[in-house]
Amino acid sequence: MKRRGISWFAKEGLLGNNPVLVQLLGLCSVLAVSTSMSNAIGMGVAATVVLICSNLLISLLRKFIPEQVRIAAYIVVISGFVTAVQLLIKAYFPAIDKSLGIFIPLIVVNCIVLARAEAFASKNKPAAALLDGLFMGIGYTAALLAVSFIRELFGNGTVFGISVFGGSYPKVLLLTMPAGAFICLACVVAAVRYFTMKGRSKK
Amino acid sequence: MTITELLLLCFSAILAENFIFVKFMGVCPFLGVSGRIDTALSMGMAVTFVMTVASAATCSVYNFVLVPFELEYLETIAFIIIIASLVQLIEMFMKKAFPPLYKALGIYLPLITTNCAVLGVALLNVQNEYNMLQSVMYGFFAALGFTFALFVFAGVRQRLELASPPKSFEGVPLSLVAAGLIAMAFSGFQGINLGGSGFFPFSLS
Amino acid sequence: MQENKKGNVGFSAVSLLLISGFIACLVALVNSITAPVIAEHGVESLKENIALIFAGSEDFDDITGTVTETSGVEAIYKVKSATGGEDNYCVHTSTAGYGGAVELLVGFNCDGQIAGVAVLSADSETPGVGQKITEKQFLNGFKGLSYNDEGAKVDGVTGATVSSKAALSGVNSACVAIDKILNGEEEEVSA
Repeated sequence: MKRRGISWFAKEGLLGNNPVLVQLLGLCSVLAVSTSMSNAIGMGVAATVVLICSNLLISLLRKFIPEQVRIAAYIVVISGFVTAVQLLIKAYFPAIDKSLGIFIPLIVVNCIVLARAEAFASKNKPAAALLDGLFMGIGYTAALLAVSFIRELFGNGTVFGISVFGGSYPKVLLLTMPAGAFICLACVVAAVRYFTMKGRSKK
Repeated sequence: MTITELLLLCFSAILAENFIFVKFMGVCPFLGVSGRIDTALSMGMAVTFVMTVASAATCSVYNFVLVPFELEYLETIAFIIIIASLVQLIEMFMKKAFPPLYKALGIYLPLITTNCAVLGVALLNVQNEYNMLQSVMYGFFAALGFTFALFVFAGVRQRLELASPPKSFEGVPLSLVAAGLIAMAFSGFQGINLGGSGFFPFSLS
Repeated sequence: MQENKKGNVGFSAVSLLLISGFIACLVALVNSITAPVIAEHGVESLKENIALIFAGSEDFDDITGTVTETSGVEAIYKVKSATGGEDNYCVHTSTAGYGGAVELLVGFNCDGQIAGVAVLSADSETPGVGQKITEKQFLNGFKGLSYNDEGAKVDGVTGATVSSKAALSGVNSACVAIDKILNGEEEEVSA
């Protein structure tokens, strides 16, 4: 197998193969928790931790997990880490637990985690799997932050809860509602596609 | 729990709390299979079936196994295992007993395991402290709402295929915009006055 | 899954069992560390919110079980007055809002007058719209009303009817509960 440096993983996770904006995985959680940037950070970090841990463990166990029951084994591993993360958040960051609510346990069925386990961790060495998990997680967090930045800035006039435009700013309430989540995500995905296509045609 | 409250629960599960457009659960399969009306309906039926059975199964496991042994913190793990094995069982059972139904729904069944609507409904049942009847009703009607959303959206998407949007909006982004517009319509259901009864000293002026 | 792999079924089962066992141990370990911390948070945030309504009050007893269940009411607390007067009450309510439950803590003086309302959770309400119910301007509207002020009006939050109504029905449920506490329970009379 060819050696790949950190920059390869970084590029893959953030841009070329961004789990949300390019692969269009895990959209449910992106739509739901992007109402504020602090939510986005909390969810992003939680998912990244789960991704790193599950990738690492699955990669370590890749020789022992029998082929026929591999999906079941992945699900058990992932749900175990998700529960651990959920309990830690509940204990040490109760505010985040309250605002993310049911979407923390739903990381279990976030397609990103299972997809990375099946497509990458089960075929690669632990170190590579760890890096892949880290940068896929960062890519997911970056996408979440981009969407939540637009929604919070224009929908509520704040960034991380700090008022930017002053009190008289007419809030675009649509953006804070479910409808705004869909439309905002559509625009971000389209923008990324536009720039990648532009970049490609230049080459 | 009166009949009215139960009906209210069912009604709001379909419209005011629609899983896709309000709660954002099950968006991935929603974008994946809503291309055509017939596939959307088949997927919807499969999801409805699994969600109803899963609601009953997870509710009884939670109340009769996890709570007595004080293992509530294992709920996520327990539920996902139940759902995964349930889907597997249903698939095998259908293959043997109802081959035509299996032919129609078979390919969608494995997808359901990772549909967050199914795990979501199980977790919501516990969070809202629903009893057995309420859980099953909530699971069934939330799934109906899911199917309804798929069906409506499939109709819209068939039209979208004829449109010629800017290149970067083609496919999923355009579908997301359309979903956003439908979500706007659904948010109208939120305003319905659900009424009340009994002792109500205060009201809004 | 296939017939020809039958010999492997035992191996598959054992390895799956081992993995599950390992994960279960991990989760149990994390749970044993976090459980006491989580339990503490609940009590502490309740204390803080009670102090918001009744300044200086720290001691309270859970008296939820002394009256029949009221829909929308999670718990009832008897709060010892800091100034040494008669006991006050706090009612914890949970009602359906726009995106999930709206949880309130409604404080009553010993004579059933609302001393204050604190929002415990309105996180699923729309930020900037429904979450305005957490602002003083709205919550202070309840202050001074009595549990039996039938027909009293409260100003809702503009554009957030659903969230306002959720808070309102929470306060109303609290009134029902406090009626039971103060006046004792009456026989159910069917209307």
